[in-house]
Amino acid sequence: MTPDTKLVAEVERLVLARVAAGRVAVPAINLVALRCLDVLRERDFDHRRLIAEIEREPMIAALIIRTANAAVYGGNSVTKLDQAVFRLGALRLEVVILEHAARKVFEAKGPFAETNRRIWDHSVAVARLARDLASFVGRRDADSYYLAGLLHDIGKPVVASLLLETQRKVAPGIASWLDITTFERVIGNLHHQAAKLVAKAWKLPDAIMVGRESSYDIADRRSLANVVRMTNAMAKFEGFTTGTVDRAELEITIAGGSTIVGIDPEVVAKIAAGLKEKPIE
Amino acid sequence: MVAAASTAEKLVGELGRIVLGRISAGRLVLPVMPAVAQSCLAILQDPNFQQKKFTATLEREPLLSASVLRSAMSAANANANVKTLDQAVSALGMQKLKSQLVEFMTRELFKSTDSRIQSATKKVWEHSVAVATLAREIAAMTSGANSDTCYLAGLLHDVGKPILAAMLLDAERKLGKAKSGWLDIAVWTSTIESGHRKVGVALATEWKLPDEVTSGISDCSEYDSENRISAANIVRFANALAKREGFTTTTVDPADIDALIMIGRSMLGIDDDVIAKVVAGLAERVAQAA
Repeated sequence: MTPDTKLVAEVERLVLARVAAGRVAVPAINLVALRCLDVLRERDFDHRRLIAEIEREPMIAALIIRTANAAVYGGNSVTKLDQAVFRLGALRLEVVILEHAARKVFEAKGPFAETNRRIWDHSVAVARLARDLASFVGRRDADSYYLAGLLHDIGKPVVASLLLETQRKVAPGIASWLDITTFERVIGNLHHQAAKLVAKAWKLPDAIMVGRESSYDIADRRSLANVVRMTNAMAKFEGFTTGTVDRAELEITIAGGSTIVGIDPEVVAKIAAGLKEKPIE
Repeated sequence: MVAAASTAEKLVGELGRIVLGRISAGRLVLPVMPAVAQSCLAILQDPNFQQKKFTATLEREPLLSASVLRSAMSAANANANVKTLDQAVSALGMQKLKSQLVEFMTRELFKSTDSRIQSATKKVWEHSVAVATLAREIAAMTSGANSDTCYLAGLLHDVGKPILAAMLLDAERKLGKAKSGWLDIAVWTSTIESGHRKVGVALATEWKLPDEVTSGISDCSEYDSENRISAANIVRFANALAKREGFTTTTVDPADIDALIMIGRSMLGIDDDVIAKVVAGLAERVAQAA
């Protein structure tokens, strides 16, 4: 079913008007998480201050200890927060905290809860594949690839939430204001703009905010953008998608990525197949 | 010829007895272990880790410091500010630092000022890098195994060999064989092949390496069927593949290697076409990493 282009344009106009007026409720990152990220990004951060911040949010503290123990090196488990922080290091801690914050955005209640959950599963799949491809080619910054994959669709739940708000304003009381195809089209068209707002509010580095590119960059073959573009198609091809997909088009994108990134298509297929072996929590 | 072979066997037996005796008595000396790296490892293993003390110790070894800094800079995303050694230590965290140290110390173990050891271990090092590279790539394809751990396990799986080579040289001196070449290359190789695993395991225990790394060192010929996608199994498979591709230090039985590859392929769920793609260009990748 093709969405009504006039309706799509009108809905987009309404949503963009809210963005322009600064009346967009960008999902708030947990205050403790934001403070932790601020500390981590200081040139010579103070571990004691970081630990004090983390201690204010038991969920984050527990997550950090759990992650440190999941990645045990040498058989010793950690029970104290300071040990966990030193073990993981700033780069890994940033990933853990941002993943926690991003998950919260996708857990929003309401009529789009199920769609949001599917987008989250897709994002985790893209992130895992990006990290695996980066590891395969020996990149030491595989965590950055994971993060870029995880956040590439962060704007989608924001637009979904904006649509809900717009509905309350323009069509209160109507249950099905937009059909699913129109809904998906509007989200597809606007989510990159919404992601920019999230990036600004969360102080995310520009380098990891990828996904806008419509073609591969030949100049930087193993860039975050190229790998995420490729793994986005791989995840969709493996069934981690929120809507209908054109499998032939996905195959072309994967094949192109395989050539650009420099990984044989059969190896790519094997990496993609591994996705279903480890369930997404 | 028969007499020569018998003498060689006796020598192997005698040297083996000396080496194993040292291990059981806890007198195994790790010959070329850099003191700074050892101190750093001890600080990392202290439950009350002190970063300032660690950085100060690390600074005493410029090559190791440069390696840690380079690693942190290449691992960092664009937002991270890694310019000093202290920042690099904070950024990487204990787990990655430990991997970095072990990798550095392993490289050092394969270096020697003695030309015979250097020559004997050069091929072992290239083989180890080939196994490590393949193990990392196979891990990336098999969900559930950590690529970094597999790389390290691959690098370390033959770590007993250079240590044993140095011990042989030491034994040679102690036995009063002033003239080099008393031990022919076949005996040398045979001694190392028969004893290196026990030495490697002793080292892994000393360095408190993860069990799956130690498991890959202790036995490379039997897969663990209970833990199919483990770092040890991936290293065993990568070891067989590397040997088939010519990265070997001894004569290998092609039938044995094929059997190991066949079992590993089944354990890890990787078919022949994918294996062929992974091993393509291995020599270039090893040359870059070694």
